[in-house]
Amino acid sequence: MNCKEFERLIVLSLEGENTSRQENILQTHLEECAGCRKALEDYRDVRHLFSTLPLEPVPVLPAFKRFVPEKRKMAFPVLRRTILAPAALAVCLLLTIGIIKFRNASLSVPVPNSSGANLLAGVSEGEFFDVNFPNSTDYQYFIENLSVEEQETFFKILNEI
Amino acid sequence: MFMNEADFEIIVRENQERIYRLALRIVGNKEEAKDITQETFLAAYEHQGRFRREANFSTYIYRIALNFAFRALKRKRPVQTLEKPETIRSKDENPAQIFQREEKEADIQRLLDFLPPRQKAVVHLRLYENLSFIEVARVLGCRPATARTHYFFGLQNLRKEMKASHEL
Repeated sequence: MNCKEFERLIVLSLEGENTSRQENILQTHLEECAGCRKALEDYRDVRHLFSTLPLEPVPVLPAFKRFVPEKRKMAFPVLRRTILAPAALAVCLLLTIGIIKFRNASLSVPVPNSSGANLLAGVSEGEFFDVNFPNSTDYQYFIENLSVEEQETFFKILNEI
Repeated sequence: MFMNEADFEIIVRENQERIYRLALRIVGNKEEAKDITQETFLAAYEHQGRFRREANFSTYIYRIALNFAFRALKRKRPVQTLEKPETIRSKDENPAQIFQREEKEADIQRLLDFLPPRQKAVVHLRLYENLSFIEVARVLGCRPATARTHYFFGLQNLRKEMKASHEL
C-alpha cells in the first residue's frame, strides 16, 4: 500500500469505520511516515472545523397550514384513496363482466329442441336454447359438421338475430 | 396511517431546521433554502402513501429535500437575493458575535461550494447531523461503501482547498 491508499484509511479511521486489521496496518504505517501523520492532523482539523461550526439561525417559516396551497389541498390523497380508487375498481369490474357477457352472447347459437342429426331442422319456428360454446374449437367443430346448405341457413339465421 | 395537517405540523416543527440547513448547505442561498424546505414538506405530505414504514420518516424527508436541492442546483438562479430573510436570532448573541459567526459561515460555505453536490450532502449529513454511513446511504439511495467514498473525496477536496487558502 502507498501513502495515497493510506489516505482513505486515515479519513475512515477518524470515523471509526476501519476494521481492526486495517487499523493495525494504518498505525504501523503512521509510525514510520511523517507525511501521513501530517495528513492525519490535517483531516482532524478539517473534521473539527466542519463539525463544530455554530448552527446558523433558521428563518421563520410560516405554519404548515399556511403554505399548503388551496388547489393542492383539493388533490388530497384521502380523496384519491377513499373514493377514486374504489370507483375505478368498480368500473373495471363492471367492464370485465360486460365483456364476458357480450362474448358469451355472441357465441350462443339457437338450436332446435331436438337431438336429430339435422341440427337446424325446424329452426325458423322451433324453440330456442342458448348453447354456450366453451371455446372456439367447439364452435368450429359444430360449423365444420354442417353441410354447405346447412351452413348457409345457419349464418342467415345468425345474421337475422 | 394517514397524517392530517395538524399531525404533520408536528413533523414540520421537529424537522424544519435540519431540512433548512441541509438545503442551505447544498444551494448556498437562504431564500432558496427556505423554498426548498417548504416544497419538501409539501411533497412529503402529499405523497405520504409512498413512504415505506420500515424506513425512518426523517430519512424519507431528507431524501426529498436533497432531490429538490439537486434540482435547484441544476437551474441555479444567477442573481442572489439582496434581502436577508427574517431569522430567529439567539438572544445571547451580540452584534460582534453575529458578525463573527456569519464570517465563519461564509468561509465554510465558500469551501463547500468547491465540492460536487453529493459530496457536499454526505459531508453535511455525516458531520452536522451525525448520521451513520448506512443512514447517509439510505438518504442518497446508494450503498454505504459509495457513501464512504463520497465522504472521503469530499474531505480530500476540502483539505486541498483549505491548504490552497492557507487555512491549514
